[in-house]
Amino acid sequence: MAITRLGGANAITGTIPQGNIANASLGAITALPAAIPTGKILQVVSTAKTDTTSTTSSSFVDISGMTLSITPAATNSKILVKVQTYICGGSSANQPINLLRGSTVIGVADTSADYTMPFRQASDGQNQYRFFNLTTTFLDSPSTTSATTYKLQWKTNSGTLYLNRTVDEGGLGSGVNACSTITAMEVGA
Amino acid sequence: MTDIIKAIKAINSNAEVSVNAEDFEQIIWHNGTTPISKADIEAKIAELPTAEEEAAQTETDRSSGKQKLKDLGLTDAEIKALTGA
Repeated sequence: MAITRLGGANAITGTIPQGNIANASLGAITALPAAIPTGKILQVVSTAKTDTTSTTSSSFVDISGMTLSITPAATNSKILVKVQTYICGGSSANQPINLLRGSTVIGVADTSADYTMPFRQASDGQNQYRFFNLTTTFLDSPSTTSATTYKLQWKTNSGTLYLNRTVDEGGLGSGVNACSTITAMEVGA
Repeated sequence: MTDIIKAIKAINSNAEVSVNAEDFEQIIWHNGTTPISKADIEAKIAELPTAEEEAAQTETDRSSGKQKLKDLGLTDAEIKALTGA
């Protein structure tokens, strides 16, 4: 007996046997009570760069392939951006990477430098053989439902900066490369 | 084969440039750098040591350097502490 009690206040209380619940009837439900929490990740967009790129630019320039576009479903959504990069500079110089929404640098400290991922290698003669894994995670509030671009830029004050490979491949062996990624997740309000 | 950006820097050490995917069609010149022709870059690549040759030279230098440190009287443990290898 599934129905356990008939009462004046609630008419019927108890448990409906699982087999008596039809998918067709569930499919007709269009909304849940507000008290029931629902999934918050509304969409995920990700880009993986599997080849290499390099720069000697002394001013910030785009890192080729490290960009994505996401169109938020609501203006009050937040965008969780995760970045994973493998870089090698080979010189003890300032070689920062910035994360941008459009043309605005985001995820920076409250200083004048405005670098999302500051980077300078040690001067130990081994710089050119090492991968450095620079990562950042930033919860952004773009406040728009328009297509929004997130991208990385980099610069080097000295030497060449590589993504996904080391400067000198003699340490790891030629062709030992890495894969860098940028991912954006829309989090519903 | 050496990479494009190394060849460019060998031709013009002040060049500001980005190279994507080791592709001559994806070279971007920055901050007023005068572009270098593909033919000149290819010629320089042919002159420079290959990655394999660089790797072999790196190994030779490593062994040679380690031996020189040993000759100076350093122990293997001391050399490892200094060089990590």
